[in-house]
Amino acid sequence: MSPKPCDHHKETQFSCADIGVGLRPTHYPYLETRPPTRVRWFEAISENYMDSEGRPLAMLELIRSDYPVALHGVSLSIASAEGLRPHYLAQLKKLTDRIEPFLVSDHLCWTGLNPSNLHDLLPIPFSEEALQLILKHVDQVQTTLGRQILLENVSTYIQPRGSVYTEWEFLTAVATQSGCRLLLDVNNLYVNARNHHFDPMIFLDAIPAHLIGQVHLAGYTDMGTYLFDTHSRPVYPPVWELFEHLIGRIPNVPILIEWDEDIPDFPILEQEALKAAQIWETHYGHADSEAVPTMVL
Amino acid sequence: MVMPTLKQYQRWFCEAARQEDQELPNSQLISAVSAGGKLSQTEALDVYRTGHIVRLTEALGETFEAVWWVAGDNAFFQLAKDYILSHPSSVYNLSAYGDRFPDFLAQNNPFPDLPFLSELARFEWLFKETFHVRQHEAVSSQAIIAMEPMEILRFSFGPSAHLFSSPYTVYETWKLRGTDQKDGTEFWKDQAEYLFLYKKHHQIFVNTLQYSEYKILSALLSGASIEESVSSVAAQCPEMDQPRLQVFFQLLVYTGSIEKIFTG
Repeated sequence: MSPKPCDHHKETQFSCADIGVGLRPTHYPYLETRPPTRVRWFEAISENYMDSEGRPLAMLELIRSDYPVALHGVSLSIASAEGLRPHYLAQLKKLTDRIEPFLVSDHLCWTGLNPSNLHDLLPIPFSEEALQLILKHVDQVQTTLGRQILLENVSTYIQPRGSVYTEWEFLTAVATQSGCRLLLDVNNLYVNARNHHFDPMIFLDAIPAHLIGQVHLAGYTDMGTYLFDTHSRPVYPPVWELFEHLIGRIPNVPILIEWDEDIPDFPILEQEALKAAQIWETHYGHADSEAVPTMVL
Repeated sequence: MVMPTLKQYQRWFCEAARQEDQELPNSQLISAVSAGGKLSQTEALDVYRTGHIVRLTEALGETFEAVWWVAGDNAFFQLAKDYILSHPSSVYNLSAYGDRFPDFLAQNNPFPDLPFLSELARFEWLFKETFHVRQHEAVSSQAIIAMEPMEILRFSFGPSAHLFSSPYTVYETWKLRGTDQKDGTEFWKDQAEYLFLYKKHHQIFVNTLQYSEYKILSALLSGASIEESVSSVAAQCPEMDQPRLQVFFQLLVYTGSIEKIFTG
């Protein structure tokens, strides 16, 4: 077996540019050969493995034997006014116990109401009612899982009226008051800034660094009348600029490139991830630098 | 204006996402949101409505790949849309969506000359379910052969072991999916098909069976002993003589589908 450049990461101590990519079925045949890679961890979509005992789970366990893995959900529906689904939480707990991920995350959104799961990351009003509901649900999830979770900011194309917070104030309030942390998606932040006409730098600078537990980068699609969060392209220059600004404040946060549509071959995805590492290195030197403090997750 | 409660807003939103193309969202919902980009509120809500249909259509397309191939793009997309609007998803995993699609096709088949479409969908759903089942550890052929007397043996099969029967040759059609053999050739037959699906080394295998083999295996899967299984079909299937039975059981052991053996 080829040596892995980042075997030390099995201990999940992050001390350099911690670049990860999403684990996608398209890449299973390639990754099954256990090629040497320069990515340091993988992020798996929780729901793809929660009810499967087949090849996907075998693949996830293979990857887990070589790399740290983060579990990233899309159906927790933390802001659902109908409450959380006990079966979903039980299955997620079972998966986290089995995989022992270094992070568990989902989105700050809702995905539908019974009997209609829309399988989308849907916008919430940044209201007091929504905040209190989410705080209650985060507590329920963290108690069930016995661990901290991260919540990600989502791209939106409408904004419900009735908000009393800005998006960044709301995210900060959720994390501060619930004890969860934030998965900051810089692409989503930029998409929302363009769609809802605010300055993305104000958003970025307003989020306290200690609340950010992970960063996502991805590509959007410009539909002419709005930006659409498609994860089908390379990261765009303005998103890289925001990332560069952000990374100066958060040296030890795992960074992930997301690519979910028109997924390229793994080496191309890896190259995209390495761009993020290069930006990191312009701030902190080479990945082996001892100047950077170690964060134990 | 009085803002809706979170639950009311979410309820209206779900209703709007499941509307037909020409329908306008609830006016209260329109008033309760502001639109992103240069979109109107209706256009912005339509981004979500369209996305909902696209996502679930993709999920159905992944599971029912052969149905899509047989029906063609336009018919499949319309069937998918009709199904999605009449069968909201209650699952959290997209790949688990579509369990009632075979029944829906049985009642809404737009192709009278392709009567097997719902049977094909039923096979594809079973194949998908089999994919997600755990790979069991097969009992060795030596362990089975060592058991005496063979007649009283009963088998417990791995969870992937499933029988499938259809009045049409759906497996033969399924194997052609994605090829260009749909036009000008007979890609399906009005002829009964008996199949055995199982997993070995994390791969799904599909064996075509004779009717008599199907009946014996059906009895074995329900917990009957070898002797009981064979005698249950003896009258109906006199062709299953001793040499054929021997070959059948050898092949069955070779599949690795048996997880445990019992006597008595």
